Amino acid sequence: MQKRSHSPFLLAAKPQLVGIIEELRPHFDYISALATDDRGLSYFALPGETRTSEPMWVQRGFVFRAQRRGKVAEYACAVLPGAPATKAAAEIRARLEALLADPTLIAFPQIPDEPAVSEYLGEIEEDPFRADPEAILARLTALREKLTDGKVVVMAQSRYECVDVSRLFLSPKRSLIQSFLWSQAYLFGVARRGQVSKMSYRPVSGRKGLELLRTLETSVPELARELSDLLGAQPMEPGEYEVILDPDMAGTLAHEAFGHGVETDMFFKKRARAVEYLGKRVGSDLVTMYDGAAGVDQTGSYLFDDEGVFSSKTCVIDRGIFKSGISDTLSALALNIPRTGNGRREAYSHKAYARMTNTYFAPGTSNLDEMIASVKHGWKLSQLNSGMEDPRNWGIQLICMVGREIQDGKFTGRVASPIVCSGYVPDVLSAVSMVSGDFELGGSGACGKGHKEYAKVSSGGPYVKTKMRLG
Amino acid sequence: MIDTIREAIASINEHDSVKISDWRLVERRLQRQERYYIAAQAEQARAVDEASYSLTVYVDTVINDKRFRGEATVTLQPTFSPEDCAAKIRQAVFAASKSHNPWFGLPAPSDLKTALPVSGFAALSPADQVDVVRRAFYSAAAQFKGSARINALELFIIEEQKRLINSRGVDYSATIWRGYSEFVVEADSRDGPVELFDDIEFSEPDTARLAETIGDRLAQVRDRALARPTPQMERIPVILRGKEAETVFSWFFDNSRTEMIYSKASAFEPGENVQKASDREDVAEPLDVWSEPVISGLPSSTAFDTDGFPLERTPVIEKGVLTTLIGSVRHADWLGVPRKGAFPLFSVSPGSMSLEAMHAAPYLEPVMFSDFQLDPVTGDFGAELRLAYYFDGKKVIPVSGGSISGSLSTLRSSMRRSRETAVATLSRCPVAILLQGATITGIR
Repeated sequence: MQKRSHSPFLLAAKPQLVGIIEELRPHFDYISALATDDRGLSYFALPGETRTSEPMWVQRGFVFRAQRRGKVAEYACAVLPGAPATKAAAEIRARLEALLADPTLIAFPQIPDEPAVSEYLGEIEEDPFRADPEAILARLTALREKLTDGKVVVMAQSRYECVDVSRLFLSPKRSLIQSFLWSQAYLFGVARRGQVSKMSYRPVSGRKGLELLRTLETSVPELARELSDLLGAQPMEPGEYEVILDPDMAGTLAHEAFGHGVETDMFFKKRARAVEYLGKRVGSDLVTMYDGAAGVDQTGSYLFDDEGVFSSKTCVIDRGIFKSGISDTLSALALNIPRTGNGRREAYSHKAYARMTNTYFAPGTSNLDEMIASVKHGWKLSQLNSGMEDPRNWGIQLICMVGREIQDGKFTGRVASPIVCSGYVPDVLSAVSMVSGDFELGGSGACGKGHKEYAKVSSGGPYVKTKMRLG
Repeated sequence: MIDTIREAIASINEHDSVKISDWRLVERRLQRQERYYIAAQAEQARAVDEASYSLTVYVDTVINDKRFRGEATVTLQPTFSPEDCAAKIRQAVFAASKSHNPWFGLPAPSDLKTALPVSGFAALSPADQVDVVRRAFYSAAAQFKGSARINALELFIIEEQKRLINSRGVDYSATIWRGYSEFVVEADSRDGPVELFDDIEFSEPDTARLAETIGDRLAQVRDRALARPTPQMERIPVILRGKEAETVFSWFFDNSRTEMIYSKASAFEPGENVQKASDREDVAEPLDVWSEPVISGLPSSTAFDTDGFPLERTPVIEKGVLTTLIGSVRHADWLGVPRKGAFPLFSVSPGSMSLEAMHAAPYLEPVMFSDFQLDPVTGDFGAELRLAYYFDGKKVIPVSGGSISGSLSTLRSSMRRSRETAVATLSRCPVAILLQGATITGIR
């Protein structure tokens, strides 16, 4: 394993940032700075071409947060406005003062600044920044060519990308730094018969390097069979069914159905129905759900969040009872609840919100074969396409690409695609009747808040059997 | 910074064994005002100054007398030293030298064919830019006298200075004003508050458009408070409105792109009728789609594309037949079709059916989904209903829950468009389409 190293840019900027904080400290009740230097690589193998670029997550910049008489303002910049620290501090102070003059600003309780000094360095096996681009492109090209047969699968593309995250948080009493790398890779295929096209994919992800591609390379035969099956897929007959959700679908159910609704900035805005259910039953005894950047290692893991709060592992639902939300600093202060280290930004230039990290159901005691055998008439659902939350009214939407029919405990061979899964969150969680002992996390996607503010997260857990409306 | 990058490129070409055959550089400098309102108070105020430089280098190779071109794109941060710049560009050159794609040439300098209008935001101070938009939203909400209200509203006003230059002498600049707001509106029902969520992009302080957008949602959230569970129903026509109608039209537009056709992700073929899957089908209403560089009020308007190719209004689909491919110049060259450029915007001809006529017979008209998804490759679509209007032939009933699904691969030929058009997010297009045969999943 190779240890990552901190960004030389951040290490070089630190003395000036410390100076700026010292200059600004007397003028505000709270002051902090977050500096980011996230670099990355993207490799694409497409039909007839290959390309190298960088992921959307690449960023470098600074955000300063100030509080005075409870009011909070932030100024973010790609370049510190001048040197030395006194000159930069004067400019930053002027920008923050202008923002704090807004008469509509809410007054929050004092932001704490508890002493802490800490650092974290991640580890990987194969460093993508040291690898030969030609070798990576050749591996990706081989993947897509293996999947494309020209008869059923008319096109395929593959992609690998990684981000080397480096974050430095400074306040008068805190000095935190972390650096780690995550990667994700995809193989997409399109099957076509006449004008009917069907698409499916395999993703892999983790706080890993190029070693991730080995997992993707084993998935080609199964994906080819699935694409062939999808060409014979029929529309779903609308109705309520028993469903077995694969770990990715189950994790997204946890994420969308309950995760967004327990982000405590939603509580503060009075947008979350969950707040009325604190300490009350929201699911069956089999439902235990966690969120946390600590406790598991996936793309949502880190040492401290973008507000300088250490990560934790939050038990959101314990055997069916709603126990705790996940918080950013401002909503936690306003609601007088613990800070859980879930204050995250898309980039230095974006606001911090209460966001999920790694969200999952805890494993149960059933196995998948038993679960399939128990289904009278239902569907095993996999290959998530998207999900959406409705924290106020507790609707749930999941769209997946593959449904396989189960009748009297056996697969019938019938395939449906696509499938819109919907329901009322407490009904879906209360109907959970079996949970497998498996545990898989996937972090190849990104989570938005509304339609923007993307954050890297993972979700998953075991196979889960419940009931949902399918259409 | 641009001079530093130019000097690094010149030095690499002078001293290194692998030369940069061509390059393209995009500079973006943004100033952003942000407000995050909860009810009528701001949670926090933010200001952002961003800058980025995206450099693409192209490296040519000759293999067996055939010329190939590789490329790599890197981000050069404004805090990079000259040495950092040179090192990063060298990495890109090395990566580009490992790609061997068919050769294509970068656009050469040419007069722009379209001018961007100057935004009304340019004449306002930063504080006034925020205030004029905030007032438009909150004044509209005040009309509802508490029966529906704003729960939360996020507001962004962005001024972007963009410059695109390349090694062939292209040097285009633009000032882009991009306003964006996400808002949540709510109303009280017997079971507690209900909400609707929406967003809008704008490039002008067009207070009437902003007020109308939030006003429509405020009226609808009052209806959601009265909504019943969506009933099970036989296949009746579905009327898709606004952004969802635009998403359906964008499927036709996006599948006409050179990159989609070159990669075989699109099943469209030039000269074919793309409104039907087979010759046996009859098309209810022939479709015309135009690519557009500029639509007033839309921040994605641009006079040149990401390759630096000047854009000019072009017909794409005429009476249902794909006549012109739009998209990146490289894929146009590889397909052997004329270069037209990659347009972000499009327009769609009005249909022959009025909204009134669409509403004359039983229908289900969703006006808010959880998240309407339409797969750009397969044409499969679906979403959960947050609010829809169901007309049973006698009365209009607001309903919620359940879902719709279907596929344009089979439903496109029967699609009808409204006579009325409006500006949406990436287009000017009919405000509604009527689809026959979508699957509706009710909940009782």
